[in-house]
This record gives sequence, C-alpha cells and structure tokens, in this order.
Amino acid sequence: MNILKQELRMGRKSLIIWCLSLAGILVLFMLIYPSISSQLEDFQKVFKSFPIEFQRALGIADLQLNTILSYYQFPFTYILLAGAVQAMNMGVAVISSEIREKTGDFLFVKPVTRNRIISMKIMAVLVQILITNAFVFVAALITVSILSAEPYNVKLFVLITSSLLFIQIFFASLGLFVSAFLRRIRTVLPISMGVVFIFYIVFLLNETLKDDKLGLISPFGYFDLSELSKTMNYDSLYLLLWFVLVGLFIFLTFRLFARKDLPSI
Amino acid sequence: MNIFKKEMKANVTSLIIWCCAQVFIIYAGMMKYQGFIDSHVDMSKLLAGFPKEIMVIFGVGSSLDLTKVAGFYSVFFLYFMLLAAVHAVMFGAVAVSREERDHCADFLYAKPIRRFQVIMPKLIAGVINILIFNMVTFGASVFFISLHNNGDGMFNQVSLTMLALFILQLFFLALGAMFGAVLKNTKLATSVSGAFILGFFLISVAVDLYDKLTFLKIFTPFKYFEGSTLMLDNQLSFTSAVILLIVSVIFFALTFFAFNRRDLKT
Repeated sequence: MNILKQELRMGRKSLIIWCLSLAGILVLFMLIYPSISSQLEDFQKVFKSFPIEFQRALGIADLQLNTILSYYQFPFTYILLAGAVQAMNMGVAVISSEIREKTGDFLFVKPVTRNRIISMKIMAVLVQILITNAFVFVAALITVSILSAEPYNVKLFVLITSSLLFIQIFFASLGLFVSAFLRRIRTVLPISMGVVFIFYIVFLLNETLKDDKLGLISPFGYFDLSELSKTMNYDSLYLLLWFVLVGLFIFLTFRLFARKDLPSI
Repeated sequence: MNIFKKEMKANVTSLIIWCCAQVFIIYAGMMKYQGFIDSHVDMSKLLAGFPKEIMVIFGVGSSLDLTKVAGFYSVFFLYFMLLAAVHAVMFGAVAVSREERDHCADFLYAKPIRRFQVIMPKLIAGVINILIFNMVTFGASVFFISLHNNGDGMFNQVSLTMLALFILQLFFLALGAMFGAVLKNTKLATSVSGAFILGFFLISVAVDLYDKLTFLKIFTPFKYFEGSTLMLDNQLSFTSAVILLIVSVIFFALTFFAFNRRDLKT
C-alpha cells in the first residue's frame, strides 16, 4: 500500500499536466465545431458523390459529418494518440525508474516480494489511467452537451470516449513489458514516443489501404472510431485480441522481472 | 574525435531500430499501392468537376492523383516528417544532457578540452545520425517506388523530398539540443520536446480543419513543406527552407551559449 501511495504521489504533477492538456486539446478542437458545422454539411453532399476508393484515400468513407459526434471522433483520434504516449510513458517509467535512479537497492531489499512490488506499481499506473479517463470523459461530456443543439447518441459518445481507456491500458502494459524486457532504460520518452508514433503511422497507412493484416498490427486500428459509429459496438475479434495481448504483456512482465538481474550501485 | 565516436556508438542500436521501422512503413505502403491502383478510377477526370476551394480546403491540390505513384508517395511525406521529427528532437535533447543524467559529467568535463569542443562532436554525430536516417529513407523509397513504377525510381523528385525532410530534421535536432542545454535535466528536456512535437502536429491538423486558422501555419514546421508540391511540381519552397535553416542556426547558437554557462550537476 505504501508503494502505491508513493507512486501516486510521485506521479501527481505529471498526471495533472496530462489531464489538463488532454482535456484542453479536446475542448479547443470542439470549439471549432460551431463555426464549421454548416460547412461540414456541404462537404457531406460533395463527398458522397466521390467513388469509394477516393473516399477511403481521404479517410472519409462512411463519414457522417452532420452530427456533433461524427465531428467529435475526429479530434478524439488525436486524444488517443496523446493518451497513448502518456500511458506508455507511465508503463515504461514505473519500474525502470528504480533502476535508473539507483533506488532499487532501497526498494527491492524491503521485506516484500518482487511480484508484490510489481502489482502495486501496476495498480498505480491503472489508477492514474482511470483518473485521466474520468477527467477527459467529464470534460468531453460537458463540452459536447453545451455545443450540441439537439440530443445526441449517448451510447456512441460513451463508446468513443471509452476507447481511450482501452488504448491506454494497452500501451501501459506494452510499456511495462518493454521495461521488463530491456536491461536498462536510460531515457523513457524516446522509446514510448517512438513506439506510439510508429503504431499510429501504421494505423494512418491502413486508413488509406484497408488491409486486414496490417490492421492487426496497430492497436489504434482495434478501436477504429469510424467503424464504431457504424456498428455501434467494439469489434469482438479485436477486443479479444486486445485482452490476449494485454494479458500476455502483464504475464511476461511478472515473469521476466521476477528473474531479472538488478544492477545495484 | 573520441567524443564523436562514443556518441555514434551510443546511438547505433536506436538508429538501426528507427531505420528498420521506416523501411517497414515504406514497404507496407508501397506494397499495397498495387492493390490501390487496381481499382482503376480515373481520378483526374473526376476531380476536374469539383470546385477548387473544396479541394484546397481538404489539402488535396487539384493535381494530386493518388493512382499515380508520385501522388500516392507524396502522402507518405507526413509520416516521414512525424517519425523523423521524433527521432531528431530526442537525439538532440538526450545527446546534450546525457552526461549529467548518467552522473559522468565530472569525468567528461574535467578533460582538458573546452565545453564547445564537447558539444560540437556531439552535434556533428547528431547530424550524421539524421543523415543516415534520411539516406535509408531515400534508398528504401527509390527501391520500392521503382518496383511499382516500371523500374523508374523517380530519383529527382524523391531526392528533393529528402532534402526538405533533412532541413526539417536539422530544425528538430537543433530544437532538441537547445532544450537539452537550457532545461535542467534530460527528463524535462525530452518531455518539453515531446510536447512541442505533439503541439506542432495538432496545430497542423487544426490548420487543415478550419480555414480561419491558416495564420497558425507559420508556427508549425509540419506545414512548411507540402508532400504534393515536392513530388508533383518538383518544387521546394525557398522561403520555408531559409526560415527553417535560420531558426536552426539560432537554436544551435543558443545551445552553445546556454551550455557554456551551464551549471553542471556532479
């Protein structure tokens, strides 16, 4: 319990900055909506007359531009991107910081098992992710409710907004796995930002190409927001894959870390 | 020379990983190009019928034809910019501040060389690193384009695109190095650099979205060059290049200046 508390205390400042900037980005982008909503309806008519390949190339296939939620999913893609960086950062940093800052000698000689330390640290990451999500959810709910003149589809809103939780948990567990796997991590952000951006670009690429195999590589594709608004549910295959991968990463983190040779001063 | 060698060695693994990722993206993108053109839609005829404003607003120049390999490839430029920016800015931020993080600053800076003689080789190593990254992108692009374009690798257009990419990389390297020198530690430097990249990217998205925000264009390097003008019109915006180079020089100068008066933690 002390470990959990200590982790939360150490992460408090960056958590506040992340929450504020994620919500800030989302609100700023949503504020553009009233000024371009009439424009969007004109676009909609023009786009519908494009051939389907071209619509896909522009990423506008199946796009419904005339409701607020169809616009909402657009800035939310970037929230997913930024949120993924945050989560992966936490995942990579939470264990590796002990070794990097040479405090491992202090923590790992305490009369608690390594597994217990890891589970406490994972709990701390999870709590921080939940706080971020709650914050973003409330900010988004308020903004959308104020900006939307007519009632909107609440289920779709919840589905879109909750995809942040799934993406963050995925990248946090990937980060944990990476930090258990690599011997020593000197700087966290180049790793997490590199990995997240590569996955994001694979996802962007696949937006144009619509290739099933490529879609399996990038977790951003598992929660494709434009698919969501069509089917009104998460894709069960991708959700299963998500569960399996997250479980595997967490399992391997415990497994690898339990046998890891920890450098001391 | 020793510092240069040490710096190159410290980054060799990460450079290899970055290059592999870049080659994979070009490979995956170009492989699927074949399937894309098989759909046989004459896009240029179709686009001629639409009002020009709409095409401009959507960032599709009237000449952009995705069924042509050049038009398709020009879309990649955005991806290259993003990856190259992350690579370059992180390199700059870490290279300058690494010794303090690893607690070996007292070793390096007690050597009988002046501070700028330490920073200089580090930055040269950074330039070599981004150049290798650039060259790998160049080679992979020409190779995969020629596979899909009857052997024509479009050498001239791709080299121009890579020149633009290199100027951007230089800018981001300078930005990262400046943060590394000015800010307190590596963690802060990388965080601020990362925030800047995300911010630049979001501004470029907002500019595309809402035409009244066009004035923000000058604040984001991602909007200084357009993939389509580079690949199709074979033109490199001279003003953009000059602005970026001047700003890079200023950042490099600030790096030296700030580093000379830096209070090194031991």
